[in-house]
Amino acid sequence: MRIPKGHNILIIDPSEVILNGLSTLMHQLVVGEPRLSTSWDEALKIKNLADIRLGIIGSGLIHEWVFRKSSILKAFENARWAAFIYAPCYYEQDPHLDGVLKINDSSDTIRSGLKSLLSIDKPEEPQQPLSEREIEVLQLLVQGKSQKEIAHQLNLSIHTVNSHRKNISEKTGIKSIAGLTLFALSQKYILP
Amino acid sequence: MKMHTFHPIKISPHDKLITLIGSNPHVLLLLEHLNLPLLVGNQKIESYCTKNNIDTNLFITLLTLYIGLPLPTDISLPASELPSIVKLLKNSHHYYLHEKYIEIKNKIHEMHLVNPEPELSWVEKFFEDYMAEVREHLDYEEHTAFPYFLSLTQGKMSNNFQFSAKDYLNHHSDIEIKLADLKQLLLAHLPVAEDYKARRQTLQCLMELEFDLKVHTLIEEKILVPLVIQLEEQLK
Ligand SMILES: [Fe+2]
Ligand SMILES: [Fe+2]
Repeated sequence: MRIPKGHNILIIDPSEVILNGLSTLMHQLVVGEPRLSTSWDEALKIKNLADIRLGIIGSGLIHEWVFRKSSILKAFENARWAAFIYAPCYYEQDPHLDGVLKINDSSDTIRSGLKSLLSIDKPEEPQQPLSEREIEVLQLLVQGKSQKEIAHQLNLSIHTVNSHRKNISEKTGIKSIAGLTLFALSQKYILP
Repeated sequence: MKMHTFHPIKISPHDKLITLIGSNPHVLLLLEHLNLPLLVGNQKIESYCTKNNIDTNLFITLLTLYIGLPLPTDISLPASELPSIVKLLKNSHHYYLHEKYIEIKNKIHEMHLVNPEPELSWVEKFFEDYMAEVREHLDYEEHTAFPYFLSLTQGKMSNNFQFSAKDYLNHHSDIEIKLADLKQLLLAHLPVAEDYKARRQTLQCLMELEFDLKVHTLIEEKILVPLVIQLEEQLK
């Protein structure tokens, strides 16, 4: 796997202590210096904003990120975002955050969190359509058939049915049978 | 080589309640669930607790959850706090059934009024079924589990009810999954017409419910259940 480069990473917080702590951890995972910034105005003046792949936002600037989000997300078009929480914060559940690191976590936990944030590029998620087989499984599933019955009816192994079921949930983001039923109705896979 | 030790941030008994509320409006809901006064003035947590007769440790643990921080690993609350916890849980049940349920139901209906797609009427049904399941769980807690927990604090252990922590956790995860599914359906799959505003409001309500339920479940699973198991061990 390629080693991520420091200059693709932005760490931003008003506190220099926080910036130094995070960049020390970061040094063990990347080559070169991460970019540090103490304000959004300063960060937005960085050259080649599109190079930034990962932005780590400290508690001190998360509010401003939320309020200026539309322009910030646009400016850093290739960045994934993670929050580093060291003070009570209301925005941890923000859907644009790919990760939340907490000061209570051990440095090992934080390090592995950073590692996984670094290893994935910004995902592009076009909604993937279900395959024909998956649609068949879905239709039977929402009729209340058990995996065993479905396996029998479609002449598949239970294991295969189970993996179809997993893929269906992964593709649609829906786990419960009730939710999948509504999904199947909305796609006209079943009749009301 | 150990590079960094981070010191956990903790809420201190000397913090002012009003400051916490300022950045974490969910705390208001906690006060309400505990029947505590809303006019907190300038009081520090410690004196607020003393004045209102609530255990400071318990209150700080609950505050920690309500501001979205992870539960401290070293909580130890005396079994004597169990009745206060049960009271808080019952009040939040009331909030789900008599406030959130009605709010969300109305919002979904509004959504359907401006968006005639048939899918939207199925959302109404989905939510009704979901709430029926929630209601069943809350009923079980109020009529079966909680009375049993309370009887343990009085040193009684009934023979005709066997509490199973595992079943209990399963109920909870079912409830969480369906709520997440509903959000996903509204944000990814169900056709939008003129219902932008109603859908936003529905989702906001759903997320408020989701947040409180999440904390509620944590209180039940991580605070209440360990206390119950501890009491059962003592009575065996
Ligand atoms: Fe409950
Ligand atoms: Fe519960």
